[in-house]
Amino acid sequence: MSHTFDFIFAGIGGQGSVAASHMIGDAAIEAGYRVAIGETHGAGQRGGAVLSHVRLWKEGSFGPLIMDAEADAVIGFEPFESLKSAARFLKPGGTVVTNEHPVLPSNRNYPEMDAIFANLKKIPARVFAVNATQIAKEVGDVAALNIAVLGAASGSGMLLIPEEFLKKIITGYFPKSAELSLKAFDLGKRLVAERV
Amino acid sequence: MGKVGIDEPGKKTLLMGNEAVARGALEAGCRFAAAYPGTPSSEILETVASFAKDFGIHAQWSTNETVALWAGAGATYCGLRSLVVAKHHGVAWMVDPLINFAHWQIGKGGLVVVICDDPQGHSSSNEFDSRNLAARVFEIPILEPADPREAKELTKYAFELSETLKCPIYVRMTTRVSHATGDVTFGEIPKERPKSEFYPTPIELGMEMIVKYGWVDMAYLHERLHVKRLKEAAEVSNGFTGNTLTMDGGGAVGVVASGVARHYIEEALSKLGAEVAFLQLSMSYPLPTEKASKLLNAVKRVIVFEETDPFIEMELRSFAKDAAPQVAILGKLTGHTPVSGELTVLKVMNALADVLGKEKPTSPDRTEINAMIKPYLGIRRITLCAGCPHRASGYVVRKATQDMGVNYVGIGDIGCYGMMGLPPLLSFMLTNCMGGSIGMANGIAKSGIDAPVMAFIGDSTFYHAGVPSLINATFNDARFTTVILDNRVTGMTGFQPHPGSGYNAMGEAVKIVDLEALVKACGVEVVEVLDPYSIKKSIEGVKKVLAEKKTACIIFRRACSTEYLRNRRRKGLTPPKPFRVDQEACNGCKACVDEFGCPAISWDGQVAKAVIDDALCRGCANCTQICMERAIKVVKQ
Repeated sequence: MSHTFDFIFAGIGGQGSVAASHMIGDAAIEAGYRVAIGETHGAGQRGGAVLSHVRLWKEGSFGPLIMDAEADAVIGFEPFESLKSAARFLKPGGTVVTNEHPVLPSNRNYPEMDAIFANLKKIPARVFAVNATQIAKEVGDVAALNIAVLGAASGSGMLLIPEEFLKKIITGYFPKSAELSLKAFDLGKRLVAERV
Repeated sequence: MGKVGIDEPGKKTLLMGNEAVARGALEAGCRFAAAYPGTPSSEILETVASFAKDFGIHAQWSTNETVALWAGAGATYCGLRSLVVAKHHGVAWMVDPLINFAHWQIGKGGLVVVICDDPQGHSSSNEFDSRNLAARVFEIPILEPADPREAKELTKYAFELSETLKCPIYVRMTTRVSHATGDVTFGEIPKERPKSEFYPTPIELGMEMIVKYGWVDMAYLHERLHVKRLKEAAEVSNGFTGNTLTMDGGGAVGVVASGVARHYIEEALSKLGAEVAFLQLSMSYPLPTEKASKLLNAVKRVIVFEETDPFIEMELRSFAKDAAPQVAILGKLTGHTPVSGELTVLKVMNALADVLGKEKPTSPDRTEINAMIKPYLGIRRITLCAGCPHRASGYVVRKATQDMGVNYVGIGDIGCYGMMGLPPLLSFMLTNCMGGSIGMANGIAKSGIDAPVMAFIGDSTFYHAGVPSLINATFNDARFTTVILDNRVTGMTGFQPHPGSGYNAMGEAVKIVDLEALVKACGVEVVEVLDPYSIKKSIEGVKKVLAEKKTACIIFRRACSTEYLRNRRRKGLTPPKPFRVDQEACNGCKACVDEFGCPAISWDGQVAKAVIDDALCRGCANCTQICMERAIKVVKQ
């Protein structure tokens, strides 16, 4: 049995994290991998945290759930959700790529941003951040947030999948707004920076 | 035809387990599909509907699971292959007809019943294991796919098996198969469409019995099921290529597993560096006794992994009692595997490590990080969406009853509006299952309590199971108020249409079953239709109805805000303009935060004023009607 490459996609309902995980899955098939993605739908989605497990491999067969402390990377769409998921799922020395723009809960009870990044580093992890929310606003579609995060993940060098496969899939998902989406991807890739 | 109906055999694509079931049905030449929505099953019928017209398939959202099964079985009597889908709660609604279809006979077309169980109850009110019904009550074969690839193949095969054994076949999915997504390869789609022809197959059986016994004999029917069909099914199970036995590990320990647990075991064994004899079951009922016997006679102990009940474990125990009494069968009954909840690789590793005498996996110490996270874990609570009409309805009922000085007894039902039972609305305190609100309100209203009783039920749930409950209530003169939360769709499961929507699963315009007329015909004396977005008017409306103290029904009618936004987007329209809180005018009374609880409104503790997140606000304007200071205004752009 060979090993898997395990990614956790962590976000909040409506941020497009599930769609992004499926784009990675589609691109991975193009790149010759087998894929299993696990997620739970239903009531939990209404404004709550959304988590997808994405597993890629070449030989053998695997279930859709990643074990605690075994994910190679966390791809996060919201900083606190990234920390929560990384604390549970990321292997020591794994990679985190996260949107740095927070979504505050209604009582505004939210940790300090510095504490979030300091704790991510304690895992220990390599941490990459980008303001994907800002990029999405700049390209003119708040829904492009997930593409900006995918661009950042690609830019961090942790994705196994060659950029051209990803761009082909993104274009296929958004035939009418491909230019805008690819711009969000490129900006995410260019602006992502490692937190040291 | 959507991405799942593409006619490109050999194409490899990413499919969710539920989409794969739909594709399997298409590749089997299935021509009829019926379901009532329910997580985690809804995508199956949605997917069939996406390609139905291209392949001459009829796909329908039925009003409940019982009628879905009848419709599906009806099509088999016309020679069509037919698919019926529900979640585990739904199969409970199919019990009586499904027993009869199993004891008697389905039509010439195969009947495949796909049931999506929800171990852990991620989206359900319990996690019961429906295989118990399939095997013990319906007595029909069970197929258990492990992943999307197998979901497609087993669904396709199930139609063939149904026609061979002349009985319904049970395909048992679980959340981690239904909602797992993986690479699946498309097969051929049959081009021939056999002509529909009515042929009532059970009549042959009836005639056979009349000739033999002078009358139909139910015991004969049951006997025939046992001595003939289940025996044939057991032979199929023994020869089935999906039931595989590998004899690694030198004979000390054997493992038996079904469903997604099979993958967990492969991963756990590889991580533990262990080998075992392994019987994998794609067809778990009837048990493949020859393969089981081979395993039992080669090992000293067998451990069973399955979700959620010890179903295979009991079958194996019962078989081993005579076949291999020396073998210890371990699992849920012996405390070696968890008795409830879904399995994970970790749970499987822990159980296997115990049995194999291996070291259990350890996890890195993250105490410090977790301590920092802990205070914030509950910050994103489950709640109704911004703009949800149910929030306004709950607020209106609360305010109206407070004005009247009345403390009502509220009973809830199954749907998004279940969240009206949570703070701050606290609209009701009891919920059971589909239709239970009106059903229980009847008993409570007849129990001699003083408080007025109100049953809260969604529109789709009312059409599903509310109608007979309401007729029973008026028939027995139970005086209470039924509150129908009518948002025009089945909201919780993904906006599927129902008899009040005006269109069906295939997008065709259909007649609306008039809710007011229906309620009146059920014998309700006072019927009031209110728009929950007109808060003051609705409060007065509720007061008027409650003051009459009659058998009443309030229909709160307003489209689901999420579906409304989706429709606007489809039409290329921008969303309604968001509102903002005028920080000068806000007096910090917190009514909008504490009493209404819209997720778009937050509380800025530093300045003690409410704030609206313009990305979340859906411009419903309900909060503007609640604010006493009129501090909430439209954002001018």
